[in-house]
Amino acid sequence: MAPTWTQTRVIRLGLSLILLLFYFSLLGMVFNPQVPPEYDSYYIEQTDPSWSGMNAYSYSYGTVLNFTSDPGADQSPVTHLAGGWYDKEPTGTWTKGESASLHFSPNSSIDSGLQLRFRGTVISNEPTQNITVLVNSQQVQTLTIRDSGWQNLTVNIPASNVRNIDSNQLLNVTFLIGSPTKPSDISNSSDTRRLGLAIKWFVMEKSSQ
Amino acid sequence: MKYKPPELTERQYHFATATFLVVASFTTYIVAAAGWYLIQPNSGGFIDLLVIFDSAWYRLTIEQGYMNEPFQSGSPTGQANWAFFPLYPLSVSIFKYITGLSTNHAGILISNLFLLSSMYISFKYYSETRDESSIIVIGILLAFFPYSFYFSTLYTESLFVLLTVISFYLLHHEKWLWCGVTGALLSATRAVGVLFAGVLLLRLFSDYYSRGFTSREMVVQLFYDENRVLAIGLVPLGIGLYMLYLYFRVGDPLAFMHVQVAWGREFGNPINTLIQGLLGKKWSVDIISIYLSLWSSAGLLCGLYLLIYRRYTEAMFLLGTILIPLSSGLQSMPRYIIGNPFFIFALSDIINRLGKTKWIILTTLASSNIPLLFLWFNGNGLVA
Repeated sequence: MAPTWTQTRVIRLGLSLILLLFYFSLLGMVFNPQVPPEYDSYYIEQTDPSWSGMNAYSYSYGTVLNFTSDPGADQSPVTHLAGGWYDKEPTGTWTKGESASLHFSPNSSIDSGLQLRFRGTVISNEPTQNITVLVNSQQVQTLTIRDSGWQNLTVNIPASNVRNIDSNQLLNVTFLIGSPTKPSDISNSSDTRRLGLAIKWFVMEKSSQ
Repeated sequence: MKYKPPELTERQYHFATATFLVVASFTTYIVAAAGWYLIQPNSGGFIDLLVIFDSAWYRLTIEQGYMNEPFQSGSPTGQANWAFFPLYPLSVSIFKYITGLSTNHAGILISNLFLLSSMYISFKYYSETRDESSIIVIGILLAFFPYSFYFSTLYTESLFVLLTVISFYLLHHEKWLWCGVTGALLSATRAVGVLFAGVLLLRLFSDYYSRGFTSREMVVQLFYDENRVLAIGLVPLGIGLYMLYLYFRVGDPLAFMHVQVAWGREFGNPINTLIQGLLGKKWSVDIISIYLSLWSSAGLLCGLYLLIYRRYTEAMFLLGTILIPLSSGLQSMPRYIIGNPFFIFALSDIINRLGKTKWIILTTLASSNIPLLFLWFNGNGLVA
């Protein structure tokens, strides 16, 4: 038997339908949060192990980032460290384990390639340490670095890897460490951290490629 | 002529008992604080002793509203008050505005009024749903059970208990639309309040099942049961409106959940959390994890007890409100457990079966609240 459609019944069922539509629209908001990349990385994706702060990933191409715990002249302190880094030290910041990431929210869009320049050093239980650089999960270069102290290193990122990144998107640079090494395994050090690459300063510039 | 006390109606008796117990429990806190001052003479005022831990978050929300962005530095880096649902802070704000009291005083007073009302409604609900019930055990447990001080401070627990018992009382009397309204308030008090929609669904379909409806008949019957359908739809409205607010404030409707990461909470399998806690593997301080796991186990056992006695809706609500917070860790589990009236009701069911030994058990339980209260005054994380 079909229900009798009294006015009260229609109103109540109509209200139920409106509520249902409201909950569906909320679902839409749940799947499309309007949050800055720093929020997304820390709270939602949880790729950033600590809260960097709003606009922490903001970056203007050409800005030199200081990875040491001491304030450097003409350098901005790095606030772009995502997962895989130990605490900053006076000489630089070491990667932790197999991978370490940097998140950037560029202030301007780009239509050319990029050049990453950084001053780094490696530690390895082998003669060389292999560092693979990924940009937004795409491999761009593998550096084979000798453990011979601090050196300037360069990575060229082709335009095809970054062309679609505009100022609203996150540029994610990841260093994959070939052989994370504990200093205690290769020397008399008591340091048991799994180190790979240390960075003193880092800059990302537009290139003509 | 010999004085004969006037006969009290049941309502008067319930109200008088509830009032006496709430006043007595608060007096205990004052006496305990006096004892605490003998040990730590330089402690702050009584209100400062009582209003600590998450009370600071509620006070911040009451006085300044919700934050636009998290704390950028200091020990609460990344933490924000989005985790704290709005109905309790809103209630205190209104009460504070009406009375002109300070935030702490208004919060403590309204929490105790919520406790008094919770007790009164609990007496009615409990005596209507149990045979040979003794309401005094419920009252003593709510007033003096370990951790019951949460009901009297700037915390959401007493409001949550009140709305839970009102909702179940209304459901017991088949007042579905009002259930929807109180359910919406419940989901605006704590996220787990939304489980009451599941309770209503369970009740609705168990009713259909007992009437022998086929699946098709059940769907058709929903169009006849517009009150029930609307009630179920109303329950998530509280949390839904808060999510909408967070979307416009922060950009993330689930900010209340996502911000938990700043407290070190990670969502996982609650049973796994419990087992790891009991084995002392997950936390560095084993004794604390075992202690918190035992509390969680006691809560779950009470849920199972209600299931065995076919109190399905009560069991579902109790188990849900334990398992959901347990899925993100063991922290604060005693608070979540005593903040559910069905844990207290199940315990009361058990204690009421014990005859005269029940008084020994009740006295022991009430006595153990004092050392916990001292830990609270001391700001010890075990009671946070």
